Amino acid sequence: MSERRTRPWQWGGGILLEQHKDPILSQELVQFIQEDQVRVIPELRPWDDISEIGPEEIIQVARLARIVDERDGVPLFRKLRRCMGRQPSVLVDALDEEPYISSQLGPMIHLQKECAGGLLLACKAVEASDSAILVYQGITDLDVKIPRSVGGVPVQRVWGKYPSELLSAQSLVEENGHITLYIGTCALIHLYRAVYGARIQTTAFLTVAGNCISRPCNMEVALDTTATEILDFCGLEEQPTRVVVGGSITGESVADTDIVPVKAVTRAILAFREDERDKKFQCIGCDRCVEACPMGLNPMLLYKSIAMSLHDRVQALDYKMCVGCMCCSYVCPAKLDIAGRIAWYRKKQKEVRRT
Amino acid sequence: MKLFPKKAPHIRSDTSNKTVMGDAIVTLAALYFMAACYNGQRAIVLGLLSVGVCWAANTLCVLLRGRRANLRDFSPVVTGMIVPLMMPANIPYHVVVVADLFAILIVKQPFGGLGNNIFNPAAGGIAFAIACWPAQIFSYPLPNATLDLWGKVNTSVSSSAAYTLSIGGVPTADYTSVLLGQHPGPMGTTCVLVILACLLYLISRGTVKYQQVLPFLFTVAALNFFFPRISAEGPASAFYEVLATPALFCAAFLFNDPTTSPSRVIGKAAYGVIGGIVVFLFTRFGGYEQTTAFAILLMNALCPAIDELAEQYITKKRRMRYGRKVTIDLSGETGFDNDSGAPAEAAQNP
Repeated sequence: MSERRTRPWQWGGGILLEQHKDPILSQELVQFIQEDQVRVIPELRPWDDISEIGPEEIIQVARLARIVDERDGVPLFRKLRRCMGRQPSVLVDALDEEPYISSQLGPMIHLQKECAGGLLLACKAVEASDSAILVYQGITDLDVKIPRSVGGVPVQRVWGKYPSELLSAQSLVEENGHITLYIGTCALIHLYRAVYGARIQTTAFLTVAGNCISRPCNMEVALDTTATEILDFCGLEEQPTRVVVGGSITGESVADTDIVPVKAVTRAILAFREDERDKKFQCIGCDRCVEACPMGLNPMLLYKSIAMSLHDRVQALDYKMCVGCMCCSYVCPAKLDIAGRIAWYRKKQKEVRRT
Repeated sequence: MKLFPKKAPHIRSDTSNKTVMGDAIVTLAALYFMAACYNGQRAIVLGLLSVGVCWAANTLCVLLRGRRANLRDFSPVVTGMIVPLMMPANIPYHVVVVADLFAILIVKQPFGGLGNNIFNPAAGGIAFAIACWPAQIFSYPLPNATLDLWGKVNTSVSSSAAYTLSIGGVPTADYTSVLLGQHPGPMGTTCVLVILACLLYLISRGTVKYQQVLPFLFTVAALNFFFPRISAEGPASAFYEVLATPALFCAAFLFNDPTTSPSRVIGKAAYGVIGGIVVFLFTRFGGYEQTTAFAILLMNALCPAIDELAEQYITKKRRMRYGRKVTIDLSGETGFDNDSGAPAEAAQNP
């Protein structure tokens, strides 16, 4: 596969992040599933070998097993069907580039057989021309060794700063007539289990971490388990001030952990306790956000233009290209909510257009 | 568990305005240490006085605007530390005070304070002081002369290397003395090795962008190499013009002020090159021996234009680059029941 295709699509910019993935990644997956939560597809007989099953059947199984791709929330069967017969490159997303999170990389390392089997099935379903597993190269603080290949499929270390994954968030990309399909690791594991075990997807893989968690780990959890149950299971050392569902950078801070269920797209539950003091300063024009923006935007200028309601100016600065990676807010020494303001403006403009 | 939702991102980098200003303060403190080594306690007192005046004036203006004074805003401290370093150690205290007040009350705060000023406050203050008291500012005590702390300073004064250069002469200080700062000059700008170390530190911390400072210094050096104004070879001319005048200090601390620099790298490089040319022209045709502060003020005025041109260029490049790729929109494809698999429209990105 050409270097060009696996390289994330990036202007430049981006940020290098300390990953905080160990010791979670080196540990075995923790199972947090009751027996009655494992369900099978009643009308389906498990296959024994990949040679017995055809592309259309794989897609039907993915549909019956209700597999949702964790990277974009799209049902796996729809993604496969879209590429059927078009000989795409299948790239497996095990990037997990946001700090603390390893809910794709962990299963890829510890459930290699299921991951590789799922990938073979997916490749067969779409008659893939080639395939690879993408792992972020920026992870350096690991005790566990990332394999060079999984079940004969090469593991490619993607060089790049954050956000590489988010930029390839479009799961289906067409370039010069060639299609590239991105699939999440966990969806492939669920596909393997559905085909060879007739199992419905009733679980999700997620990382539980943060400075309040006493036993941080990667775990497989039944869907609809609440955040409170998971936090109780892993133990809290102290009362967190912020519980985040999703990524440590782009995730959502929740107001009530009792009503937040685990969904197929939930990648992590993080609990942080932090200094509550107001740390806001004024923008000094240090240009760190401009350097960090992976889309080559000027977040500082956008922030100021939005504050002054200069709509033409904001338009000219291509605010719609913002991918919401939050790099600008992360690096901002004045701790301004740059990305938040741009997102707010986008939302507002969408509403204006609709009415 | 009930919590108060917070805004993303949920982790932030360790750098804050405080650390950015802190970097500048640490490096300036090193220069004060050198100044104190050469000219005694007076250098430190000048610095403390200047910082106090700047901080008080800044706080007063913030309060007058009806804002709460932010005790963690160190920007007036940086301004206050820079101003005396561009002056001789025997400068009367009132000159420093007036320069500080001009910097904060006229150059910085009327435009909206931190982050909104068009001109570099310290450069403005120094330029004002030069225009008002050129005689005091351009007569320097000899290195290692002990200076009285209070009252009129009685010491033999001398002209600086910048003056010798301005009348077409070759400075008497040899290369080693220039590098070590063993020649008369503004108290913070002569210790070349220390300034270079400070510059290296600031670049490594990301506070100063090499994309701006290197083109600037290179342009000044190259122009003086090819068009020396003194009766010396090109290398000697470039050496003295960059290292024996305040050009290096200005490059490190005044020219690189983030507020008054373009935001794009290409803009920074252009700003550096044009800045180098302007500084060269000012030293060649300017009336004073030390004109870098004026040149920087002029460059500050040009900054928004350079910034705008760079932004337009980058916008054009960005649109060309992101217009090529087609992503197939899957956002509408949710749910398991509708199994038509009809292809949606391919959406042009963005």
